Amino acid sequence: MEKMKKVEVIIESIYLNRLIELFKEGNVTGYTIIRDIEGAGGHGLKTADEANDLLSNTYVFTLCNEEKFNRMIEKIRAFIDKYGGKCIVIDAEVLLHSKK
Amino acid sequence: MNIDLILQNILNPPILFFLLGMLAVFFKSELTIPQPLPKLFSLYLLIAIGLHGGYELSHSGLNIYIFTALFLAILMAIIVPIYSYFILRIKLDSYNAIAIAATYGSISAVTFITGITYLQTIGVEYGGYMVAGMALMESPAIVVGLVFAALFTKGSDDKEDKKTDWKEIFREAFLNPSVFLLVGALIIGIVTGQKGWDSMEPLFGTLFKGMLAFFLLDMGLVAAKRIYELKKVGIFLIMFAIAMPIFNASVGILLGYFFELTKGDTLLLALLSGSASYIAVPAAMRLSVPEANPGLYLPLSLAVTFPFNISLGIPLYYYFITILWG
Repeated sequence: MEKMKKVEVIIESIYLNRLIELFKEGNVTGYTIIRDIEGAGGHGLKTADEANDLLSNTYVFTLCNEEKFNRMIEKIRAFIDKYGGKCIVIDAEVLLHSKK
Repeated sequence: MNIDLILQNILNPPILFFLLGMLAVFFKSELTIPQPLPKLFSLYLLIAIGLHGGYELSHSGLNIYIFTALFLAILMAIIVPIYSYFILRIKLDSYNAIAIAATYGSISAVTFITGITYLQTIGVEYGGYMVAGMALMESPAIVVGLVFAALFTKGSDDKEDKKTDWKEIFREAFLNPSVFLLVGALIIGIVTGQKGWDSMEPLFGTLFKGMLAFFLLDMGLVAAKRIYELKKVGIFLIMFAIAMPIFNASVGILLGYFFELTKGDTLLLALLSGSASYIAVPAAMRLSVPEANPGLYLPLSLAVTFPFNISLGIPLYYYFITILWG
């Protein structure tokens, strides 16, 4: 099994496009998005119940090898520092990649 | 002030549903409205109000009076965020002052729609062109906010980052979903006129008040959940969130009086001036001024100004108008 990094990011939905841009710059083109998730944190309650991206969070995760991850790490740190949110990095083992 | 005016407004099913939504949160009821529905209601309301305004505009045509009303709307949308900023700077840093000033410079469509329902209840005429006024008032506050952000805050160090920001933010200011849909529906209403409105009326006219009640029920739930966040906001801003709408609405009323607008149009101008945005501007501010805390500007406009305007503000402003107009 291949060893990889699973990068999980929870951000305000409004910043999703900026995060995806950042992934693309790091040559990370595959990711999964779960929209309209709820929770509470430093920026108050996010209830995901309004026609407004400010009140909902989005969860994004991606898998990448260590080399790509190391290239992105400082950019993600700056991103979270500026826009808020959480980034969790997990050592993962991937059973099988989908064939292109 | 005549208590009848307040009762006429509050004893309206949509407003009572708003209060019911708030009570559901206070009593910890499990009442929720499934997530995509509130979005549908808000799209419905924007289409309905745009179509109806366009249909009325197709009747009335354009004249000096309408241009005056629209000019006053834009004027208010520009000056409110400017003086609000300097008032807010007394207690706040630049970032938060800009975000809150822009929030109060823009408008809340649902407050406007509730004002229209009030005018219909008491049988006072208003012009459909005020819907165009509402659309015109959404964006200037965002632009003022952006200019102030460039003038009064330290810009981002990363020049490339700044460049992409502007494109995204201007798209947010002028092409945000609510402005886009509202203007689109308005144009469709103008182009299709009487025939178009007759075919759409069963959905966007007859059902309107019922859908507004449903939407306000959800807004009651949303606003009440934010009330708990007000503890962190502080008394200065809570006072601001009530005093500022009254002041802005009064300026709107005086302008309406001076430029001889009708009572109905002046009430709508006052409401547009006195309402605060909780969708378009907060979104644009979050993108352009991420340093400002949305935990301040969102609860203020959602949990203080919006409930105040739709319950007490509307009859209060109308009371001012009846005094002036006699």
